[in-house]
Amino acid sequence: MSESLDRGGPAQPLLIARDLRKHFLLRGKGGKAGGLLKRGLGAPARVHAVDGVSFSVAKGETLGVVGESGCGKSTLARLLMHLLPRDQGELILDGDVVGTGGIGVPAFRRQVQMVFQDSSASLNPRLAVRDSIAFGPRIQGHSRGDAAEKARQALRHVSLDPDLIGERYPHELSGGQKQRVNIARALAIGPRMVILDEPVSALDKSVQAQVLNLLARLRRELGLTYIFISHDLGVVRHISQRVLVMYLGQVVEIGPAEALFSGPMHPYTRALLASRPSMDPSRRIERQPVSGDPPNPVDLPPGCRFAPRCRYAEAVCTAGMPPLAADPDRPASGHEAACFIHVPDSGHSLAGRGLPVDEMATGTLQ
Amino acid sequence: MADREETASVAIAFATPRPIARRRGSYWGEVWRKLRRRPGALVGATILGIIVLAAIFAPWVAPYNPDTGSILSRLKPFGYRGHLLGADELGRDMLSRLIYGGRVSLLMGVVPVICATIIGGGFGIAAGFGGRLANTIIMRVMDVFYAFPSVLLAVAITGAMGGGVLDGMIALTLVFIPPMCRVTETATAQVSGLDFIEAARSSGAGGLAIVRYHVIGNVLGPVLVYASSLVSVSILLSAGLSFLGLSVHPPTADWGLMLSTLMQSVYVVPWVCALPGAAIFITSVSFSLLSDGLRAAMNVRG
Repeated sequence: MSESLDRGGPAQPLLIARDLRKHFLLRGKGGKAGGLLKRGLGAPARVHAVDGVSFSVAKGETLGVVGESGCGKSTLARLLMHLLPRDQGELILDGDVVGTGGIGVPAFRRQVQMVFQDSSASLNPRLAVRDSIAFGPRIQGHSRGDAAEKARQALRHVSLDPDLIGERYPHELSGGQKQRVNIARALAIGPRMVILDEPVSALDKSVQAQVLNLLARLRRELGLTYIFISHDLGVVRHISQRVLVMYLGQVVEIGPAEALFSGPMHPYTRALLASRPSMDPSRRIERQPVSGDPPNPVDLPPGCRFAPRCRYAEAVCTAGMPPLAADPDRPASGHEAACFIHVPDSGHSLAGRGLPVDEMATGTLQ
Repeated sequence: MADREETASVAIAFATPRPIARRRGSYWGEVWRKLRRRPGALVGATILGIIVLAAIFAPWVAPYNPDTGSILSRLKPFGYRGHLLGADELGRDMLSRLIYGGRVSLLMGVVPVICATIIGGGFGIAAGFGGRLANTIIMRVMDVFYAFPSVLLAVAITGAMGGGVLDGMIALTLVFIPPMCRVTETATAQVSGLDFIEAARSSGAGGLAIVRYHVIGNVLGPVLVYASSLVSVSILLSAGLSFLGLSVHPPTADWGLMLSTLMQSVYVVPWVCALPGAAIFITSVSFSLLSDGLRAAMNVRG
């Protein structure tokens, strides 16, 4: 099925997102009513949940999306899935623009499916598991028997026995089983891409490993492409080929997983990686990798959004927004970061010299 | 790449769930099993069953014609000449009149609630699922109806329409639509926020299909429980309407009407006069018991 749908060939990225934007207008407090007094007659307060995100996902790869809570990861997933209308931006699925002049949202949803974080809330408690899974194919126009067969097949894909599990209700299943049912539900339609929004965050470690192995196997067997959203760096490193780091609605760094984890280019990514607890007591973190909280997404700082918390921030950082710049040592690797340190002649004192070696990131000193 | 994924992860085989001995029943099967374990609900259901059966088969069950009396047996106590529960102010057999009166009273209790559940429930789902504009329009209109006390509203509507059984039913339906709508709207709004609705939407389902497959089933529980508790309210309100002479007219037997006419004779045969009130009381308590049991039994974990 996926062969016949492959229109652009292997070189065409399966999904390209260009300059996606979603701002939420605040009502009530700080919004229209309070806004007049506080802000004069300016624009109403808005949360910059996703603010100009661009990326592409190649066929068959897993793109990991990481960032701390509130950075816009889940909003991004909902924008991609058209569960929220986007304010601005463009989505291109295998060469076809989604929207006017290209393929419609229903056609997009036949090829892209989503797995949600909360495995309980994403299953209808009143429907037997097989009916929940068969709902998608039914909606897509398959006959009742056909949809039931697709549901059985999807359950087998996720290593659940259709005869044993199929007629059970969600409250009779464990958390890991429920999340596998959710994966089966997404697969039943026969998508080419699955957006996984924190699919294992609510599961305990051993079950996480099971589900991650299952996802890796399904990707190989069914030729799937994943966008894997998580705040768990270890999980993302394990499953992703490429990783995208988000901070306050923007992409701060994107690149191959190995390169990004071994040599982060952006100070935020480095701080994020350094904040992971180490398995080795001699590498105990004594100093805070980054201090303070992320700024209020309503009142964003000028220029680089990480500047107020960044150790290397200089005047240039608050003057303008840094563009995504390629790694000067390996320009073809696709490793890019939005930091003035990597922009030659940006005016930053470290411009062109790269991020300084830091004792914390390498873990050599306490 | 694939090798890395395999080796780095802990190899844990999927535990195959053991086959379960008893085939799991449906949701309603489970509700029934839980209901059977609640004595209060069972007592309520049994009494209701008897009352309903007696009302349905009234011509065969009732010992006398409810509308013909004898001057000789006016206002007689229990057990007088074969009148097991005595006779009323026109010498009509009380037991027969109570059995026939149950027909009208039960009808007045159940029909308005069913109509209000369908209409109010439909509005409630539309308000809870249809977005901000639909919600504002529907719920603010309901608020206007809420502003009137329900008894006054029922009396005013029935009075304005002329009075009669049908008018009474219409009035009670109108009285019950706003609370029914509000309960449904709350339940729908809760369900609409859950991920499985978004999941259904992302599998390409439209609003109607989502409502049909995913919303109604999850809203039905609280709505049915609320509806069953409204039945006793409806019986009491309709008795009140008949008492005021607005709904059922003599000589038709109706518990509310019987209560109001026998009130004058309460010093002559107090126990006989109390019977219609007792019938209303027992019926509405039985409905309350049953709805309490349903509420508990339907509380299935999500």
